[in-house]
Amino acid sequence: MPRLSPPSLIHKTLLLIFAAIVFGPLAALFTGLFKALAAGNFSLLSLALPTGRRLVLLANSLSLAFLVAVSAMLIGVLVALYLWRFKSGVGRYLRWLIILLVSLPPYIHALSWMSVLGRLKIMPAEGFWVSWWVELMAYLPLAVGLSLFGLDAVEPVLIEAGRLARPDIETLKKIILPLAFPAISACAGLLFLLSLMDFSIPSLFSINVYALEIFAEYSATNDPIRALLLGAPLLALAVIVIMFVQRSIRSAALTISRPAGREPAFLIFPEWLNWLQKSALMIIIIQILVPLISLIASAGSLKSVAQSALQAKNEITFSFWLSITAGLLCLAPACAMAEELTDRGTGNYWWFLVVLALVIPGSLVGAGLILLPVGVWLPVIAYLSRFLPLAALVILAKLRRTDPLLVEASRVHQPDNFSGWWRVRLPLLGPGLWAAGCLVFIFSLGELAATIMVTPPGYNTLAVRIYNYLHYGASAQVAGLCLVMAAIFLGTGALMLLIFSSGGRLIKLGAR
Amino acid sequence: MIRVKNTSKSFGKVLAVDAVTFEIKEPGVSAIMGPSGCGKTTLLRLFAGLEVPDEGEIYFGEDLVSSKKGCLAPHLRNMGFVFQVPALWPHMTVAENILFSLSGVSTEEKKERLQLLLEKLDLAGLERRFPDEISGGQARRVALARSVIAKPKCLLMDEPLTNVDMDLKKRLLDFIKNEVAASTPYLIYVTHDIEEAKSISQNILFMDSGKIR
Repeated sequence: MPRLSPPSLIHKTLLLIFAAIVFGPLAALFTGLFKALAAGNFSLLSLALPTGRRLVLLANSLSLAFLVAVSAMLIGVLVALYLWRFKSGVGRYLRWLIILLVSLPPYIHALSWMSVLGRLKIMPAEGFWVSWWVELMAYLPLAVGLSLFGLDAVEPVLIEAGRLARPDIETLKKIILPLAFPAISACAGLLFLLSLMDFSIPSLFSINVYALEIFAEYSATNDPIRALLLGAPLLALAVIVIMFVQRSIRSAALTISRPAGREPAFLIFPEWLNWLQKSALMIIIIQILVPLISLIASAGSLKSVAQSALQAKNEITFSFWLSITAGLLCLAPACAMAEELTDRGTGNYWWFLVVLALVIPGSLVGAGLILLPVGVWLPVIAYLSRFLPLAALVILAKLRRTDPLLVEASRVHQPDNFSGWWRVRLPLLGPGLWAAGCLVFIFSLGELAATIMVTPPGYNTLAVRIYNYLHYGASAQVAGLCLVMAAIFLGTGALMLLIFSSGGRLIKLGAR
Repeated sequence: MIRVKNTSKSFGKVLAVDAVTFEIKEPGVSAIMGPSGCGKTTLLRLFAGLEVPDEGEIYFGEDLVSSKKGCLAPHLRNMGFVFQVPALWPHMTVAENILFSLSGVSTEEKKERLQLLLEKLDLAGLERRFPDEISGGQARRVALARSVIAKPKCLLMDEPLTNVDMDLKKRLLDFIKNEVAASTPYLIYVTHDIEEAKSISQNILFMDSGKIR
């Protein structure tokens, strides 16, 4: 695959910036650790080995993450199998809606379920199983989206060849699922790590998990090195999981070659599977409806929502500017990294680092950044550090959909390197860049784990304000703020999907 | 006998097959010829049950197998299909790809049929390789072997020799004429090459703009 890169020096500089931003916080933490060890402070190392209470916490976190990943994947694959057969009509809109819901941060789901359980009073709104259920609801859209992505990547002709020989259920078992396995296993690994690293939902439902310990340790001691050592078991687990799923993620990201305009075959499954799919679909419908209805019901009138938004005007404005800046600044380094990932040589090393960077705990990013003198824009660096890898993968997806011949034609006919890059290659990547920018904007707006540690005194982001309020329960005020946030997420997400799926036609129309 | 009665199929606003009616009464090889985009592939896909007709009916013998009300599942039609591309499953070896369509047969019989086909198609020794470990020409031959191993009643071939070099094309054409045609009651061969069509069959149907002329 030809590289869409600008001149080499710029490309290398951008790669360097990418690495510095993404791994800078960890590098700062490790430098601090080595300094402490050089000063003879070896007793610190005992923090890296979980014992006693911390071992129990780690076991709690592992079992919760495992249960969340397995259950989300089971339901996600069933829902994806159902929606995969409908690329038009209601199924198409449902597919879009589910993908949009990926952007809703976990604590908004937490608020919705808190409110529902509080009203129903059928069970206490706390504990392991409630935490599991809410995490399942929060990660289900991602499980469905990535499973759909895996199923979509299976060439229809391979399915048809199977259908000619065997019943559809066997074609599913022996051809479709094995071919979609890279995406499905990558998603399972990713969900496991996301759940393992998240402390927002368990903490809101009174469950102590290991990720919260890192944040708590930092809050108690103000020592980032102690936070790093406490986070070491999570980092080690992330490296192990990534070593297993990295190949799958790479394979899934590089095999997006669905021929345009071909619907997948309408497979006929046995009744028991249809029943399971419909049950899973019911769960996803609950997943969609509960946050929407619960937030609207809790927020009260439109006037009270507006009042909540007005009260949080400073936080909204501050979050908005930080997130937009992150969304814009991510583009160039992410673009360079996406191009690098297609390289058969150096790409191998970058793949491991990019995937690892996706799951570095937010609290460790925050702890590392505190060691760097950046000031009021520190949250922007935190957002970039956390979401640049995601932006690179989105741009890579677009890069894989671009016909290499178009790039080769521009290389032959371009008057100079710059005009070829500016007039042909950049517009071809346009929708991918747009989607990456929007995604970083959305995720930055909802980011909590690092933001809560790096926000400078006198400032606050919307996410932190909501999280702080949530500890006092699901009030109308916090519901109003969540509703505002959800509206921004869903609106931006819809715009992003519209432009990405239009293949950039909307951007071109706008330019005319 | 294969009977197609007033069958139509469109994709959005494009009418790919337009009220086609014809019969293949006697077993043997039939060729369908026509320019690119005339609906040949769609017609084959309708035969195979991979598409549901918007109108009309398709019969194999006296059995109605396709109509807009419903279709017999593809695997129940006892058909083989050679696609324009090899379409080999990348996670299965050459042997697994070929044997996939064979069921209800003893292991001995499976081995025997596999060896015979591998030898006839110069694929011996490749059975444990994966599709990405064989050449494009070998992949074509594996696809051909996969489509005939179950001895289908009807074999559909959709431009199977497109983008194949002259030498391999000649060898495969000979194999299809001498071996496949002799053992398959109905063989429907789609091509846009008149010489290829003439060399494989005397019964040539011409298709243009979705209609059989």
